[in-house]
Amino acid sequence: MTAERNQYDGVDALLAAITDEPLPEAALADAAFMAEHRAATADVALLREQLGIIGHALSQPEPQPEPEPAPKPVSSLRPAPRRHPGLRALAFGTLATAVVATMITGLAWLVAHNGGMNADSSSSADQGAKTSVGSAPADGSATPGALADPELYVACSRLLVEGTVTEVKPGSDPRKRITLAVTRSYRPAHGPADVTVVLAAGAQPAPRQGQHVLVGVPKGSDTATLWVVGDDAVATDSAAIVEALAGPGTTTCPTG
Amino acid sequence: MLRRKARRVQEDDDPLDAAQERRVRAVLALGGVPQADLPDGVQQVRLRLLERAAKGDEAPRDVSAWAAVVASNLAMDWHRAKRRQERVGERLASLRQLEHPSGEDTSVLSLAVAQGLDELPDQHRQVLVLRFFADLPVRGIAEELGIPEGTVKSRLHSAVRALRDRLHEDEVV
Repeated sequence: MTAERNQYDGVDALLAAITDEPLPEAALADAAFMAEHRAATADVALLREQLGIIGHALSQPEPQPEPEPAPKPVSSLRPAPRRHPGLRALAFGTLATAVVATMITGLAWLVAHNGGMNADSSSSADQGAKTSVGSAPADGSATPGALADPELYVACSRLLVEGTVTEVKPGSDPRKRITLAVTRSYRPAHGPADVTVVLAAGAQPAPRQGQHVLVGVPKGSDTATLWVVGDDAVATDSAAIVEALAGPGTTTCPTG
Repeated sequence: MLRRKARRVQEDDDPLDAAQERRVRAVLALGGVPQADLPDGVQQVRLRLLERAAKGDEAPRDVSAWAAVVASNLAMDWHRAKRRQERVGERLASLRQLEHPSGEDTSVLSLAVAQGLDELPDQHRQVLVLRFFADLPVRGIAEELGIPEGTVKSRLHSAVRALRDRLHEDEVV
């Protein structure tokens, strides 16, 4: 056998690891060669593992987009004012889900979700969660969520508060119970210092202690349908609520 | 006629079982076949197998290995035909969830490997996938591709060295 530099019979440590063929005796006795062979073997094993992971990931069928919910807009609704982007609710979960609660008059409440859950939504609370839903798309092709009408949402809320998350507890079902130290109460006008709300499973961003949030719970429900996180997003939507509260107050909730 | 026969046969006796189909999809994807074209690619592999049977050729000893080679050749043909080739790294990065037992660090590594794959010459990428994803031995790859073993070894050596160098430079390993 000939031992060229780092090779035995034309096979270096890397090729030996690639082919996984038995090593000659002389190579086994060569400490430097064996050290290189061990390193190459480890890298080859890692490569094999990664190709398996990547291949598995890429061969998954693409998730089907959620069917668009078919809301039944009520003609008495005023169109969403364009003065501000409207209140935003966050998408729940990485796949878009729609939660529709049909009210007595046939008004469909939507917590519309866009599919844009991406890294932005997991950014720090200070940067704000900008998963924006509920506003009418430019082409008007989809019915905006109910939160596109701040006056209506305010009118139909039993709780609408801004505050800081102090506690997150799992519930008996997949939902979570969030306790807030309230910094500002919109509904009711003078509420308690602390409130506990139920957040739907998969709400994004996931609730965490210390988050600055805006939360809304509609009448007749125990689950929040408005979950806004981050200084910027909360500031924008709070401004919309304040404007709605300062309005003529002629909007009434169809459910009473 | 072959497609009609393929549909009839597929209903009665699919030449690829679920695991083999999954493997074929993965080899196609690793070879840069776009996600949207994977079902078509799988069907092409099925048809090749049926054509082989129709010609009276003996069935492959190892259908999985044979299917992996056919899929890898199809992936190369896809690229040569100037069809849109999907960069594996971009596709991986766009996936919302990547199953990793160890979280973010592994995800960074997977992306680096995927990007390295994209940078390999097609022939190197092909043998790399056949050796380390489809687990074909060097001799088997050489026989199936109809090339010398030395050529397979040379391509593998170049491919693995390029990936190793990249991963070490990127400091992901």
